[in-house]
Amino acid sequence: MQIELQHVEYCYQEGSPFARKALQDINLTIRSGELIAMIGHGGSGKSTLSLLLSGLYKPSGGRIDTYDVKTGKEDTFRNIGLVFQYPEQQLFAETVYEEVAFGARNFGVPKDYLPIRVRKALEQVGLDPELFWDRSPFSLSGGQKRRVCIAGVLAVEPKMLILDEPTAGMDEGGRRWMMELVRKLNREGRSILWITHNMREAAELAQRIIVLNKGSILLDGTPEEVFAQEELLAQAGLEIPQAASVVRELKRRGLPLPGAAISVEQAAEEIADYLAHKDEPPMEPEPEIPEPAPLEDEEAEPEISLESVLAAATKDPAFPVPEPEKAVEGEPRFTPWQGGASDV
Amino acid sequence: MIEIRDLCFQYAAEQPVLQDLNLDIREGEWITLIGANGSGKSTLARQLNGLLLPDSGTVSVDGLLTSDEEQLWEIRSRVAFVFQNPDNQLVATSVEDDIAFALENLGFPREEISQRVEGALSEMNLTALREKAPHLLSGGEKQRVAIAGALAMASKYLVLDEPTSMLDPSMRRSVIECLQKLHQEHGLAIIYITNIMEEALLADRVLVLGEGRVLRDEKPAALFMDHRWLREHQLDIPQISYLAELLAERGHEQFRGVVSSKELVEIVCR
Amino acid sequence: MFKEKLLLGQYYPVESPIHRLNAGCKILITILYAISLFLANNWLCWGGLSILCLAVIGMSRIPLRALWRGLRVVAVFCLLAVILNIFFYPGETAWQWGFISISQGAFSHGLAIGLRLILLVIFASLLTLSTTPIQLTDGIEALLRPLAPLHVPAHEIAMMMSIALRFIPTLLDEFERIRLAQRSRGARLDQGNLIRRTLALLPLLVPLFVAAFRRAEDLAQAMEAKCYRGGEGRTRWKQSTWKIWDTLALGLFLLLFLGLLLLRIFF
Repeated sequence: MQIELQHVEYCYQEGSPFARKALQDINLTIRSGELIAMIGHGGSGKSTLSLLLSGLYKPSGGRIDTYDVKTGKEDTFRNIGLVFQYPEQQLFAETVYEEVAFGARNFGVPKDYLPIRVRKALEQVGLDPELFWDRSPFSLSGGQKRRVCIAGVLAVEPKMLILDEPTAGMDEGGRRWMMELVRKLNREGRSILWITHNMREAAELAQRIIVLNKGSILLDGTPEEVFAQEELLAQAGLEIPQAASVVRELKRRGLPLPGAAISVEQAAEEIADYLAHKDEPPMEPEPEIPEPAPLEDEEAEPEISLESVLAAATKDPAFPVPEPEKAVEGEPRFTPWQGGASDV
Repeated sequence: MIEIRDLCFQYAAEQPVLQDLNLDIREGEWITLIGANGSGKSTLARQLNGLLLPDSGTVSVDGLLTSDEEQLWEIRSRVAFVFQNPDNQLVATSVEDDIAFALENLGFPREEISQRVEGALSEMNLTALREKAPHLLSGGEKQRVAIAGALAMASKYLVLDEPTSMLDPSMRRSVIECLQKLHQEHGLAIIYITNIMEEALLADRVLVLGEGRVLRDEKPAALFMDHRWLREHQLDIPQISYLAELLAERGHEQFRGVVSSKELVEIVCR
Repeated sequence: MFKEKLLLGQYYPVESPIHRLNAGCKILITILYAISLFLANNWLCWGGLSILCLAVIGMSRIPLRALWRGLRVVAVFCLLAVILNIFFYPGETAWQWGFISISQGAFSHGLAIGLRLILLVIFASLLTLSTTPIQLTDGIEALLRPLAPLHVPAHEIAMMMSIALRFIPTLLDEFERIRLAQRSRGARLDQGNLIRRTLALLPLLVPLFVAAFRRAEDLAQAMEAKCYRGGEGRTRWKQSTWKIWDTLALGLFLLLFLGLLLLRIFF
């Protein structure tokens, strides 16, 4: 499915003295199978946009078109699964089965198919159906609760998943698990919109990053493209990850680095490469090697006679030191060979 | 000083959460606790001000035992606590009333309460918000109000349980800046729990908790050099430390132990 | 949404002598006025009480449209009460039309009821319009405190009310979020028979209750961490003051009440 937003706006409490424009002039296309990360501060409109995309809110202006399915009908909720922030706050059912089946049942999945859907969804999130089927959702750990909520969304078999800060409150292990799950779901063909305020996550995960600032789209591109705009991001109060920032700073200082690293590993590569070749003479551009000068010295070399040597050695005026040959005009004066390499 | 000796604790009928834990926290120290969720960080934090009591072993603050009911209130006035959820720790209907809450509980006279509240408000830059109701504050402002309450109590120790995990990056920065200021200007001892490794770099010591014990206790730069160990234990590594280690492993020893991006850039440019 | 509107009871912030009166005093006055309304039994007294009410409205500097907002809700009930009273007032029939009979004095009686209800509602509205919820809480606590020897937990009641006031907006926001989330899962509140609709409330109410309990637990921990141990040994930073005006105002209404009481007894 493909979603197109044209000049979309959203205003809270329209018409009242408290009216607040949360989104303005949003133009965006989400294609089938994309893995997109959306970044922005609190108040940038990320959550509002997710509510508009899922069909829960209607835009105050502009239009949202979902090819395959038209927004405005309940159908949209079925095709776009929205995982809210801290989804554990929605738990209410007596058993995990009931909780996961809730959405699917509401959207008309026939009763006989519900257990199949629930089983599949639980397996997708790594919860053993045998162990968890009858347990109370409230008896689970924080991480398990979150998995149950995601399973509930997956049971509806949406074509697209929107996850609003899915790793909030999780530790590193949980984060890695969540990112891996989303990659897997994306490989299986679902479009994913991952909303976060963590640049690192966005870069690690997504092929495309959309940056929101104060209700408008500031940047929209690959991680490399977005990271190149450090100043713009700084204005929006966002920072690129430290490793990426370091290589770009080095490039700014004139060092011959590509300065395009996104991850720590890439940054290490760039810097190590630079350091390895730092002390070698520059290969490019190759300086012209001048033609070697004619070896005039050879011709001008004086005959060193035995007498002159003996005279010099004995300092005896009895042996006259032959005067050096007068230089012939036009020919360079010779200088006795001093030793040392000639500079070629 | 906070002294923990042979601390054992478990929640009813579950696995032990803390086992034979021994720890000293000196005045003015900044200690950060890290570890996977469920490693006992929050439990340990709550032992420090007696919200939880040991099953065996002792926790003493400046010589006062948490297990002694009479002394518990004195301990709690010395060890302030800031919780993870900014909302659920604000009791009163306005910022200044919330800051005054602990002082009222401790029975301070009215004039002293006013003085201390004024001081806390101005130090935490909250004076403009003094009459605002809590539900109208941002997450970062709420945490600053909680910290202001600790300041007003003139506590010596401040325990913070993942205070920034529910905040976005700019709010996080403002809270941490406040803490640094308090730590430097008032010599407040800070016991900070977090999952965000960049925050752990601020500490004098970083303690890694796992299986109910302190697995490691060292300076942040030293700990974060060991990125293999951290990976094994499912812990994140601050980016610069990891980058420095990768470079050091390739033979560039000059990067070993570097934690700041500035330093790293300088070394490369040398 | 709700956050921006002022908490409960539509406090109208403006400077006035009424706003400045002690909250506990105002509560007592409202009670006295209410009782006076029903002690009085002739049009002269009711007229006087109406003028008194208008005077208080004037002094409070609260615009009539703010008052009307509160009245609007109750207006329907007032009207209903009036009509019922007119038609069911016992006595000799003075007017007949088909099987509907209206007795002598019924109109007068009905209107009297109407007037008194309206005055009562207006006066109570004035109370909430001129006093913030937290001031009201303090006022109630102050009034209950003398009853402490009778084991009335004045402090606890006041603390409960204060915390409730503090968290109502927060819980409303929470409710809104839960409602949205369940809607995204296809939950509908408007389908099916009564039983089905009631069950459909579960996905809204259960999470809300769970959230409320969790907040309560967290809050209890936070309060303990801040050395809370009940009302004993606790100082109160902000104290409501009792000024000369409060004594005068209370005295006035007390006299009114006693006067009407005597009138009623002896006439």
